Amino acid sequence: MVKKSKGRQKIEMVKMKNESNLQVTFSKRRSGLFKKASELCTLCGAEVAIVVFSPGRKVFSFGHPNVDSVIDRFINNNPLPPHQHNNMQLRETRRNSIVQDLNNHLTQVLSQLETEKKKYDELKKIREKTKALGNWWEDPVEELALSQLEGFKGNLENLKKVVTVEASRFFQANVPNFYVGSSSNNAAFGIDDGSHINPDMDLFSQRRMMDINAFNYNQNQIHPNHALPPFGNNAYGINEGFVPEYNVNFRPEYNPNQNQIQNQNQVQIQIQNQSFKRENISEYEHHHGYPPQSRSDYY
Amino acid sequence: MKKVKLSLIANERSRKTSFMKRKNGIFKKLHELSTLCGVQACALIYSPFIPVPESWPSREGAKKVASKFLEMPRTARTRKMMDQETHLMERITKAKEQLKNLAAENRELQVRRFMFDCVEGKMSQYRYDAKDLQDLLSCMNLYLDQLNGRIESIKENGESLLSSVSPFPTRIGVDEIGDESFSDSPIHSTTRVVDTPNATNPHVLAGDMTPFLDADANANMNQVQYQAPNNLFNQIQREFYNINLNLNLNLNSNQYLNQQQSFMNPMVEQHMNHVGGRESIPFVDRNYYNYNQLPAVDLASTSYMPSTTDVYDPYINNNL
Repeated sequence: MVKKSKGRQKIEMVKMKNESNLQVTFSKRRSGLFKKASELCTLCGAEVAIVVFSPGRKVFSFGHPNVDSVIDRFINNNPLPPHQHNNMQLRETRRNSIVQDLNNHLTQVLSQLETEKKKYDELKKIREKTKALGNWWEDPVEELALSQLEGFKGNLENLKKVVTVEASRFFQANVPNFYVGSSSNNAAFGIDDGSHINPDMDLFSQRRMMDINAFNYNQNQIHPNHALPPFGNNAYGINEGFVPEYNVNFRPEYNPNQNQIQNQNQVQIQIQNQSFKRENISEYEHHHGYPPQSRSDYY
Repeated sequence: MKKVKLSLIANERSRKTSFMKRKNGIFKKLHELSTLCGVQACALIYSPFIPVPESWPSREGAKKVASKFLEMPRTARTRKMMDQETHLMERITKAKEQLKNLAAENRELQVRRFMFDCVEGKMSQYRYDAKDLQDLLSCMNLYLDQLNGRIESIKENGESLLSSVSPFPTRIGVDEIGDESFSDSPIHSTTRVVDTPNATNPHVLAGDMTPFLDADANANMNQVQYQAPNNLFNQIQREFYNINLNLNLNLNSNQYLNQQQSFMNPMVEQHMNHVGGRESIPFVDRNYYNYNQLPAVDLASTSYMPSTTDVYDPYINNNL
């Protein structure tokens, strides 16, 4: 029976005449055979040895546990497996564990490969759909006419300018806001400045509060006017003087969250009270040394 | 096709059945291999159920091949010898290589799809980050080079101009659609709205078509070409405030951790590292090494942060 396509074909079960085809067939079929043997060992706990002499007179072999032991057992007509020594059993257990890990790893990689193939098929399907819609600009470049080439080239160059601007904005969206937005956060903490009992403890708690809030920002969407606060609370007055607009604009925004901030502050105080005295002293000293340097940097 | 889990079959009856089927399958494959390639081969299979080994082609035949195998020098024998561990490791390596190549190809196809959708004015439908934009720029540069090369070859080769005339019927079709669109704007608007829900798209699509309808009308061409970038820019403006990092569902696959990391915005990652380092300051007595690493992160993140390194010097001195 002659097939219409050149896909999978039934072949005659005789020795192949084409030498290179024979070599390729040997390589592929030997590989598949060893794969099946490996699966048999894993699934059914069998011991296997397969020996194949290649057309080039090399010898390929696969064995579990290994070729030599199985062949020796066969030649010597020994029906019992050599489980007489504890050392052998321990080695076999370890080997089985390694093989199991390798099998799991292989299954995982093959699963990922399957996912990538599905994605590839989906992308091909999308392309066929757009081709049916008549999107000629997606055809290979060699198939387009001169006018089409020049027209699409113009559109692409316009798009390139737009994307370049967008890409540069991505970079700027992080660095300047990190610096500019810090004062508004200080303003927020400044509001709470007079509502704490212990001034020394409160200063440090606010410091940690700012860190926690700053960390939360990174888990949410990036807003151009919010960023990480690098300065200590003692710099509040100076910053406010330099950027009054931000303080005025964002102060009301923090009033609704005032209770939440206070609650977090109490939690921090409790944790702080449970710390050792030595840590308190060290942390306080560290905190004390922070604002003057940042003030100098700001100037 | 049912996937078989690669581990020992628990049910002994199922295991036995599977053993018999697979054993016969292996013998069949071995028969085909030796017949097609005209080579000698043998197989020995010991089952936990049967003390006598199964062998192929026969007991005597297998013994003959095994003896020939044993007569070979040790080095020749072991050069191509495999056990289950080495075999599985070889297969894993091969599969990983295949996976890497296919992933790279898929990435290229996705970026190309992204480029074509942007040209058609669908940029707002995507969730992208800086990495995606960089890949998009590279793809566009490459494609522009191909376009320029093709244009140059057509202009240099006179015969190609003749072949460029042959797509004329297709262009006639485009002309008809274009004329109809411009003659009756309500129909034009309705058609475009049906194609895409975004109301600004008609202008973009019209911009794509116009240069080929009235190549001599400079006024129309200039007017339309001026509109297209503005529309795209407006869409980008809206898109900017809806950025969701690491939520590029159209472009990314979350199953690959390494790939996912490459999609992260480098600046955001550095900020997160910085915050983490700062977070550990209160517990510095218990995380001395994290404290030491902090200045390096500061240096990497922003240009003015290095000056804050001095802040920690007094504490180090105090610690000493």
